[in-house]
Amino acid sequence: MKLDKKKILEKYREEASFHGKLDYGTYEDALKFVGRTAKSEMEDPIDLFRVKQFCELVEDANLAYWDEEFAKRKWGAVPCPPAMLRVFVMRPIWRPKYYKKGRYSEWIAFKVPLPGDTVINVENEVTYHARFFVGDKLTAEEKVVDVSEEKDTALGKGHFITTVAYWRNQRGELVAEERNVIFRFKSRDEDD
Amino acid sequence: MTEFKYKTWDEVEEGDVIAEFEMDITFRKVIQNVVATRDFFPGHHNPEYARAQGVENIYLNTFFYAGLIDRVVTDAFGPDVFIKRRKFRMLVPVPAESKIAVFGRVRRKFIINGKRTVLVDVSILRRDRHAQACVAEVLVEFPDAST
Repeated sequence: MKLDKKKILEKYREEASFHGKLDYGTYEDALKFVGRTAKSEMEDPIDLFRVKQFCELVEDANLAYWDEEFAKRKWGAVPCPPAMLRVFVMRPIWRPKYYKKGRYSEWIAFKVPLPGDTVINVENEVTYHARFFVGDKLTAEEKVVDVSEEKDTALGKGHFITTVAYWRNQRGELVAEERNVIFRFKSRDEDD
Repeated sequence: MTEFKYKTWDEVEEGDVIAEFEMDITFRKVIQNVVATRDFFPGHHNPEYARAQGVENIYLNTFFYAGLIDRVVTDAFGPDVFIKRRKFRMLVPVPAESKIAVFGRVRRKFIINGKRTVLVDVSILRRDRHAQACVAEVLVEFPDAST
């Protein structure tokens, strides 16, 4: 049976807006979008339980995350796995209307106007300047720096969007610089 | 207390294999991935959506790779090293009900800006497809010799 991909993607359009609602337009519109910025901040400080959940996922036995005494002796606090950088600014699905903590920008890569009806992440590069810890609260400033011409891939035709983000802790110190590339594409039909 | 033996910078040699293991990517693992990262993009929890994207099943997200790559580094060199830069490309998605093989190797050992550093290559393969799923390089700084 032929999979009606367009129909399925349309059916979950709302849920697929989790990182941000896709904006539609032409490649020319997208080029005009280059240079746009967005800010995000964590709602609550990094917490140990989330750190452990993440280590549980990748089966990371690093003492820094499991032995609080060891970590506190060394750094004064339990470090956060550097890979979790963006985890704490994932947008909430629901909050009470009166609740105003945190600032969750839509992920700016999703806001670039283009024809593609879905996305997949393809490349990530982070340069770290300092460790960050349980109890820290980070903010990110993000910018669209490039949109490629249309490319044909195994998944479908689309554009590669490059963004950069600067991550700072609550003292304003730069802890990480991130460069990310996302592929915004039209899913290939079964008979294509 | 458990004894840990990590390689010091002096002991590391270019070409050293630092990781070689497999991991089953079960449906639960991919759901665990959602739970641990709160990434509710439907490709990671909704098989119908993943298939409409052209992927066989719900698939791992970017954080998983980043975390696994860092784990390869600290499993070998211990908690004191600093991940200075991690760069990776995701080539084919890794869906639930597949298996990955993880390889890590030291490409270079050098001193940059007075820091004792190694450059590590990590590659993650999809066993069922014999395909590279993710290729990474990580720049790792070791603590100063005096500490």
